[in-house]
Amino acid sequence: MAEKLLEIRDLHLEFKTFDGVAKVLAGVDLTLHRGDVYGLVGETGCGKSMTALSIPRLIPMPPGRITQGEIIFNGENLLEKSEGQMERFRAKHLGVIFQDPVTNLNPMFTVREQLIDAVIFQQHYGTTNNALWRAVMPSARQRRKDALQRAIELLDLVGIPQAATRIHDYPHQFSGGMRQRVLIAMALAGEPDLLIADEPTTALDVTIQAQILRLIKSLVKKLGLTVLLITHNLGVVAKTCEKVAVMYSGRVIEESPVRELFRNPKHPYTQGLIQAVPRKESNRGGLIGIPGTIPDLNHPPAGCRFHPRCPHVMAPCRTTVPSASAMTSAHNVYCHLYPQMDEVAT
Amino acid sequence: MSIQVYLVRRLFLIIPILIGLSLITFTISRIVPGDPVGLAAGPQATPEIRERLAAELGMDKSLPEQYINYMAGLLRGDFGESLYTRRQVADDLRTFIPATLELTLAAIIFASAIGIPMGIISALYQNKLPDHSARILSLFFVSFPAFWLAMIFQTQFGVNWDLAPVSGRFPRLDIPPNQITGLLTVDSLLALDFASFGRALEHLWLPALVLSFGALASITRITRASMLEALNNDSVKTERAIGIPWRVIVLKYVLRNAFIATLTIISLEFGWLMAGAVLVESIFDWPGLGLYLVESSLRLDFQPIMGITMMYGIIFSLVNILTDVAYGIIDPRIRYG
Repeated sequence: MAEKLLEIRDLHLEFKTFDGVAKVLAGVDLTLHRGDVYGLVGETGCGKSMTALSIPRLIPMPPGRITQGEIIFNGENLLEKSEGQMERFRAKHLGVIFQDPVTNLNPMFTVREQLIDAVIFQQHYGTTNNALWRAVMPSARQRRKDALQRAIELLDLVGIPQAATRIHDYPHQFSGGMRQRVLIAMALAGEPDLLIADEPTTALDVTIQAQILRLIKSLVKKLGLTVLLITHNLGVVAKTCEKVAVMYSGRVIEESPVRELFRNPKHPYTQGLIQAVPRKESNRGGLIGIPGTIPDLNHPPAGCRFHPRCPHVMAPCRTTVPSASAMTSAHNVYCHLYPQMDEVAT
Repeated sequence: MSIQVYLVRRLFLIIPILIGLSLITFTISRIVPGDPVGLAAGPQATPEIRERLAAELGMDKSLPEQYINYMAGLLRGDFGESLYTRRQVADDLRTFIPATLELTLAAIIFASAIGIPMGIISALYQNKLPDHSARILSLFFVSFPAFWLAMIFQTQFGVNWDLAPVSGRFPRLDIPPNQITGLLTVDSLLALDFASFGRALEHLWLPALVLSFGALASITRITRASMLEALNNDSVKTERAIGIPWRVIVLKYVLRNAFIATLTIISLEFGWLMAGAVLVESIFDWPGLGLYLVESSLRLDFQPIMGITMMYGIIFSLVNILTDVAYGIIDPRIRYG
C-alpha cells in the first residue's frame, strides 16, 4: 500500500456563537495515502468543508477552536506549527481551490501578477526564510521573469488556450470555468503534495463541471497528485474519486472504495443518500428523501447523531457513539447495526 | 471610450455646473439686504456720487442684465473688480488660490499619511487594543472644533514651545522664492533654496495639522471599514491557502481592493478642507481664499464672493474628475464612459 500522506485523528472543532457552542466536528477520522483521489461527501452543514479547511488551518480562530485531535501530514502534526511555519507549509505542500471562481481571484490584478506571486512564493518561500525579501527587491526582476515562464506553462497545463497572451488579462475577462482553471494553476504552482478541492464545481454549470473534473483527473495522472475532493454531489464522487468518506453532522460515518459504496452501502444514512439520487427509471415516483432534518449543532443528539432520523434505531444508538466496524479491509462503517470493534462512550 | 475623449467630455460638463453655481451665488448675494454701493462710496457720499458709482459698476441695471454682463466678462477671464479695493478680482485670486491650495494639499497629505496606516492597523487588529485606540483618537479628532484646536495649538506649539510661527505664510521681511507654482514649499524646492523651504514649512505645518484633523478621522474610519471588507474577500482566503505571505496579501492585494473607498473620501475631504480652511486661515492669518472670502463677505463685496465661489466650484470639479480617472487606474473593471 502507498505511503500515508495525511491522517486526521479524532478531530473536534467548536465554534463560539451567540446561541452557545456549536460542535461542528465531533471526532473526524480520515486517512489519505499518496496518490489517492479521495472524496468527502455529505449534505450542507455536515462539516466537510470545515474538515478540509482545518488542514491548511484556514478556519478563523476565534471563533473557532480545535479542542481535540491531531492532523498528521507526512509525520508532522500541523496543529503544533506556528502561524509562520504554517504559512511556509501551505506554500510548499498544499494547494487549495474553492467553490466560487468569480470571487476567489482578486479582480484588481492581472492573472499574470497573481500567478507569478503564487509561483514565486510557493517555489521559494517554502524553502528559504528571506525569499520574501528577495521577491520584493528590485533585483528580483529576473526572478519574476523566470516565474512568468513557469506561469505560462502552468496555464498551458490547465488547458487555457493562448496562455502566453491570456496571462496578461484581468480575471473579469475570463469565463467562470476558465477562472477555475486559473485557480487550479495557482494552487499547483509549487507542485504541492496535496490538492484540497472544496466544492470546485458547485458554482459552475454542468458542462463546465465535467471539464473541470476531467482536468483534475488528468492532472492527477500527470503530476501524481493526491486530491481531497469535497462535494455534496454523489455523481461527482462517482466520476472522479477512488475512495470516499461520507460525513454526517461532524463525523465520518462510512468510508469505502467508491464502487463498493455505491454497490453496497452499509450505513442507513448512506443508503438513504444513494436512494435519494434521482434516477431515470424512478421518475414517476418523484424524489425520495431522508425524513427529518440535520441536527442542531449547538444541541446535537447524544450517541449516534443520526439516530433521530434512522429507520433502524436501537437502544445503544441513543447513548453511545458507534465506533468503526470493518466490512472489508478498506470499508468501514460507524453504526451499531454492525459488530463494534471497540466501545466509545460520549 | 478613450481616456482623452472622456476627459474632454468631463471638462465640458463642468460648464453647466458652473452656470448653476453662478446663478445661485449671484441671486443670493444680490438678494441679501445691504447697501454695497453705499458701503463702497463711504458715509459722506452724496446721492449723485452714489448714482455715478452705481452706474460705473453696472449696478443700476436690472438683475438679469447684471448677470449676463458678469458671465460675459467671465468668458473673457474678467472676474470684475472689488467694490471696496477696486482691484481686479482675477489678480486677487491669482495671489490667494496658491496659498489655500498649499494649505489644503498639506493638510490632505497629513491626513492621508496618518489616516491610511491608522485605518489599516485598525482593521488588522479589529476589536483589539490598537483598533480601539485608533477609533477613540479619530473620534476625538473629528469632535474638536477646528477654531478651538487652532488656538490651543497656537499657544502650545507656537508660543510656549516656540516650534512654529503663529501667523502668516512666510516671514514678512524675507524675500519669498520666485513664483512658479505659487506654492512656497514647491517653489523654494524648485529654486533649490532650502532655507526658504524650511521657513515655508515652518509656517505651514501647524495650520495644516489643525486643518487635517477632521479629514484624518474620516480617512481612518473609511480605510478601516473598506480594509475589513476587503479582508473578508474570498480571494484573501485563496491567497492564504496557496501560501502567499500575509504581509504581501495585506500590503499588495487587500490594500488595493480597499483603496477605492479611501480615494473617494480623500477627494471629498479635499473639498471640505478647502471650505474648512476659512476658519483656520482666519486664525492663522493665512493669506488664502478663505480669509479673502471672509473679508469680502463682511463688506458684501459681490465680485470677489462670486469669483471665489466659482474657483471653489472649478477646483472641486477638477478634483472629482481626477478621482474618477484614478478609479479607472486602480480598478481595471471600470470603463470610462
